[in-house]
Amino acid sequence: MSTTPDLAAAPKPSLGQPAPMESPLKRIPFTKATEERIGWLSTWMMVAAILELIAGAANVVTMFVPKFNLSHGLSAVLSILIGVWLLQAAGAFKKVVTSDTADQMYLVQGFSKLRLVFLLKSVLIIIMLAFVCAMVLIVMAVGLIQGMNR
Amino acid sequence: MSTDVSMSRIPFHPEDERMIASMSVWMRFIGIFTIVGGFLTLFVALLLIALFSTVQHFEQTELRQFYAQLSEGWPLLLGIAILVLAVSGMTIWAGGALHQAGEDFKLVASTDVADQFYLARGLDRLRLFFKLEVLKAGLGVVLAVLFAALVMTTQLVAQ
Repeated sequence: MSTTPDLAAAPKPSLGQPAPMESPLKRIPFTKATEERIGWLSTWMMVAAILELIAGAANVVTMFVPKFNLSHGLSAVLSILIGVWLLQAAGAFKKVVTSDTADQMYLVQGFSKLRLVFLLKSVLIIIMLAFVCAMVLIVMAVGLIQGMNR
Repeated sequence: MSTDVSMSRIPFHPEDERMIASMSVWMRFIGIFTIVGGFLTLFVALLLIALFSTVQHFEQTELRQFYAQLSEGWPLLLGIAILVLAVSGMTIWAGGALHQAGEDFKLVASTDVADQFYLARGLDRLRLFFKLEVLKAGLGVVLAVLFAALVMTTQLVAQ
């Protein structure tokens, strides 16, 4: 197997012409140590995904016991979504290490799933921060009004 | 198969580069938030430890009674304190790793200097982040068990 990157053989675009679309690399020449680390990344990600799924299942149970609780249902959906996306990302990164058929495509697949995980978590953090800010503002406003009434 | 050739440029599609750049933004955001959360946890834990060590000098007898009950389970309390400090330290470390991984992926998307190097480094930092997250979850379970044992001990002493 050639170790030269596929890029070297790619034709260079001439001036004034748009660059031709390059095909994704079948193989990215990672070193043995890097491949091992990516393998471990996939393993830890998979464990994190399983923990998220367990948390989701626990929330499904506590949604109905002792009485119906919608917030637990919402938590369950979010945990299961994150767990499934993490599992898919872990699977894609595993394929980068175990195969040399479409490394770049699998990397992009893994990143797109990871992006969803981090995007969802960020949105939740932003909502939580907005909620905290709103509560602080309400408490301050109530205090101000009470102070003015005295 | 592995080799020593490192690519300066991996020909990601412009759409994929945008996706990686977007992912790096959210990773850095969560990284910073995690670091702040870790420091807050550390601060609250240290505050509680300081409060606990001075509560015996308080005027209120109820508080001193509570202190006496808690003191019966001091090995558990010590374990909880150590674990909380460890978890907050790990949280700060994990946040730093995630933020740095985000920086690496941003470089992959925005430069064509050492794509493969940045990619490998970013993935390695991401591995550290997930490893710490899993370890934190494990410590969280241990913390819950210790806390339950402390509550039971306190109740037993109260009876």
